[in-house]
Order: sequence, then C-alpha cells, then structure tokens
Amino acid sequence: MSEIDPKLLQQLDEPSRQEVAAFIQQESSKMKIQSSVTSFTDKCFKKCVSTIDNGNLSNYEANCMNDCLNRFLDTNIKIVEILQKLQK
Amino acid sequence: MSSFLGLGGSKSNSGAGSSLSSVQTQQVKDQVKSSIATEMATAYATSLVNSLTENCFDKCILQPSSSLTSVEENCINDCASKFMRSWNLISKSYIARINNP
Repeated sequence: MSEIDPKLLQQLDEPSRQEVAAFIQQESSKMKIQSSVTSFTDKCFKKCVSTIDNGNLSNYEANCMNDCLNRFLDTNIKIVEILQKLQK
Repeated sequence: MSSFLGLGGSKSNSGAGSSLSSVQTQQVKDQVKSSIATEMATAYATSLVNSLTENCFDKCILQPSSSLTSVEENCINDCASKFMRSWNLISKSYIARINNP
C-alpha cells in the first residue's frame, strides 16, 4: 500500500476514481463473505468433527456442517427478531 | 469507504494542468488494484492459517512431546484436508442461502 503516491491518486480523473472505488467495494464484499465462511467453518468444525481418521468428510460430518451453518443463521435471525420486539 | 484514499470525492482535484496521461492513469489504477488485491489475499490467508492451526492443533496434538510424531503429522494432514473440505461445503451452502433466503 505504501508504495503508491497519494498525489498520483488525486490526479486520477473521475471515471478512474469510480472504477477503483467500485473495485474496492467488490473486493471488500468478497472479503466479508470469505471471512464469514471461515468463521462459520471454524465454529462448525469444532462441533461436527470429533475424530480425524482420514482426510474426507463423512456423510454424518457433512450433514452436521450443513445443519450447523443453517441453525447458526436461524439463530442470528431469531436474535434480530427478539431485539426488534424489545425496541417496541 | 467512499472517502477511501480520496476516491469518489468531489472533482476538485482533477483540475486541468495536473491530469495524467492515459498510460499513467492505467498504471496508477493497476497499481492500486493489485495492491488492494494483495492486501486482501494476505488477510484471507492469515485468518485461514490461524483457524486451521488452532483447530488441528486442538484435534491432533493431545500430548505435546519434544517433536511432532508421525501420527501427529498424518493427523494434521488429514485435519487440514477435512477443514478445507468443510470450508468449501460451508461456502457453497452459505452462498446458496444468501441467494435464496
């Protein structure tokens, strides 16, 4: 990051700025999704994988990961609903 | 985000006299984009390595000894592969759910 001269950036014309800004938006939402996925994986791996006997996921583990993710997201929605009710 | 590096702001800085040639413009744009992409990739790799290390350490190193045993090394290999398979599965399911709530 440090090697870019801020003066050069300020000399970019409007369309170029918009292009770069759009690129940043796009990369940052990609990043948000990636870090959510890593955090869900971290959480669900702890719950669903108990023994490491080979490198593949068993059917049980795969189903558990899937359920774990969806119940976590359900919980998230429930919490938002509860907080919304409290606000009223 | 809109004020990041002064991007997306007013046009006050793009006045005549200081504008770049189109080749320079392309160079600056490419430089900014690739440096952002690198930062993002580094952050992503760092968090993945941390999470993998923590999970596989917990599962494979039950009784730390003076060096990694071959059993532990195999376990770390399998654990990492299980974790990445899990990551891909979660990623698919999550994206499916976002697109189709």
